[in-house]
Amino acid sequence: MKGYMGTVLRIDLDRQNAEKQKLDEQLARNFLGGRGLGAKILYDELKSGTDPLSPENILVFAIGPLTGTRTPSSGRHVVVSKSPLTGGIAFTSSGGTWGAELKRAGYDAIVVKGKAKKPLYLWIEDDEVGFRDAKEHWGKMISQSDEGIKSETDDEAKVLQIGIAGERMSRIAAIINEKYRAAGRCGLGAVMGAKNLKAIAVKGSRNPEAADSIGLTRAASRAMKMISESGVTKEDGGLNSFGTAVLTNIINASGIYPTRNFQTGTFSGAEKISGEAMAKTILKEKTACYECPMECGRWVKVEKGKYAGTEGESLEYETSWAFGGECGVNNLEALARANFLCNEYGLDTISTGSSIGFTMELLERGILSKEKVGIDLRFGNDDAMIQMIEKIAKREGFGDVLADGTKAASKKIGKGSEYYAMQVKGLELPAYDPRGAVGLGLNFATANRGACHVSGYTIAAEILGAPLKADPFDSGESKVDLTILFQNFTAAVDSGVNCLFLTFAVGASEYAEMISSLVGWEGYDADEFLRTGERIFAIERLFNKREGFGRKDDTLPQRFLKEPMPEGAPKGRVHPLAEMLDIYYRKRGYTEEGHPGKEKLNELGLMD
Amino acid sequence: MIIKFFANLREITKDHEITLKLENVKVKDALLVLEKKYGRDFRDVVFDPEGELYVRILINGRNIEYLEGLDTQVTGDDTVSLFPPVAGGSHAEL
Repeated sequence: MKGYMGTVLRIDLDRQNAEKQKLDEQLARNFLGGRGLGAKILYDELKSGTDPLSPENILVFAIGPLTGTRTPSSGRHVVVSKSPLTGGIAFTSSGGTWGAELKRAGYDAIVVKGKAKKPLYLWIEDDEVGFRDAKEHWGKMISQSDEGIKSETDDEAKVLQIGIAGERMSRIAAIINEKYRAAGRCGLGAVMGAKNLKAIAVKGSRNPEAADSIGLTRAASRAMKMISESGVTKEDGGLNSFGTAVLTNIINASGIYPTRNFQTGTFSGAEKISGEAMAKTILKEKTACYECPMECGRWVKVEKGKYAGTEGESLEYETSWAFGGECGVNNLEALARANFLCNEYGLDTISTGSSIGFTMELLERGILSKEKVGIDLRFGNDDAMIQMIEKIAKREGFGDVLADGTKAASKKIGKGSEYYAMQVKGLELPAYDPRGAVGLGLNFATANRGACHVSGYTIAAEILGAPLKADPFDSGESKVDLTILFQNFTAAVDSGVNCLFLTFAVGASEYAEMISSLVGWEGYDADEFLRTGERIFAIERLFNKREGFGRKDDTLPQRFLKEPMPEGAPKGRVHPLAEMLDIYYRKRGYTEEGHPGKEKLNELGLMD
Repeated sequence: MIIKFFANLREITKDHEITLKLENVKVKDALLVLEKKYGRDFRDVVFDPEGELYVRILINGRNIEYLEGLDTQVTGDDTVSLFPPVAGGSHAEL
């Protein structure tokens, strides 16, 4: 089996033991790698009811066959575990080059179990696996420990690590790699913290082989050509020119830019914090991940004012929204500062911004007092927002309440605050109001890790009109089909593993062509690729079923079901979830409880 | 009516936003007025070489594809937003 390195590294932190296990080919063909491989390992090996922050939880770092190859945008890695934020399956991915380096070191995945007695980090250099004391790095800011670990290992090592938030087991803590890249969602930084695992530094010297090298070159070139021709992904196209924050204005103009904790979908300050504004102000240069021609990353620098000195790779669309529209802040430099702090402390920007916006609304409504919160956290107060980020990371004062996300916070606060916690299954919503994009709303409700936009990014069709077109208000059967298609396709892409942005230009046929020429699987085609995605989505469902999830959890915050959108194109609309959910389950072959039915499990080879 | 331009379109128009004194016209008529104002470059960005609409046009936040297309009526109180493709524009099939 080419393309893969053929080895899973098993780490036992209790005994500080590393073992190499052969990757089974049938397992690889059924689940590819990344998200799929991680879900299969979790399903097979994790006992239901396990506390996510106990030593028994399993943490999988996985890449796919395409990672680290010459196929476009192939530097990503995926982390899979049981989420301390949701209690269900967690998968979270990150860009950069760490994934490609793991492949060069000779591994398809690292599976971590147990808990170290004292903080340590792993140093993996090809076949050598070392357990190093992390005492010097514990409690440091991310940029300091990145440099520190490299100075102890190798200047060219790629470092993945947690910051202070993960060390203090914040359930919204991220896992950061290469200082600026985050596997942010679902709080897996806390799982590393609970295991006393500070970091994994990797350096490798090998290259994966292709079964059909000429075929792979042809397939990769075809994908590159499609990227270079697409309005979004081409050089000087939307993503390249303005970064992902190119979305700010179009989402706002469409009336679904969540504003002040989703009270409305139109933000008067959107233009000031848009990708267009960034390009004219704090943007210094464009940055790219491994083998990526899109260069959607932004290197920003604030040169004057109270946030001067803020510099780094920064401000994706979701992040600029989480501290912008969500918190009512229209100061781009403050958003850059907020992003910088989340990177340095190792916090998920979406959940952090959402937790702050949630608190702002509770203050506005008198459910919380300024005295209780400790600072004047009203909408639009960027200074207070910045202060609260540090408090969350350090679990200081009211920050300790928010450090576990909005669902847990609302339970502590009570007084009806649950209504204002904008989360599904415990995961905070990202930057789209589902009342004006009903396919995405269905995806938010049904995505296995909670309110996740990248589980089924129907915005591509509903708002951006590509590669398919769909009316954002339509809630009929075709919209349900669209949502399912996006979810399955994405599950396969996340297991491949390439960047999801590739899908703006490249379809399932191209993925299948790249995989078949790389690995050498006979008859591997687009149908099998999509079927693999369906299988992965289903096994995640089975994992969640075992943890007690069902129809009751496939829902949306009550605000979207009860409160009509007050203005903009979706004015007067609520989300029609109830009418869509039955159709969704039926079309997926799931029971009325939302679990995969026997026939479907048979079809997907999941009956065992 | 208010016309808003976004992303790379601004390189041609140099304007973010303008007001046109037009009442009850079709979208295609408004585009002709804009082409007159901004020239051939504007037309080349709005339509592809086959004459198909290339940009996304929203009337008060609603894509004209789900209204009456280029024949959609626009009134003086409307806001028209023009975006180049910020995603897609490809012919990839899922």
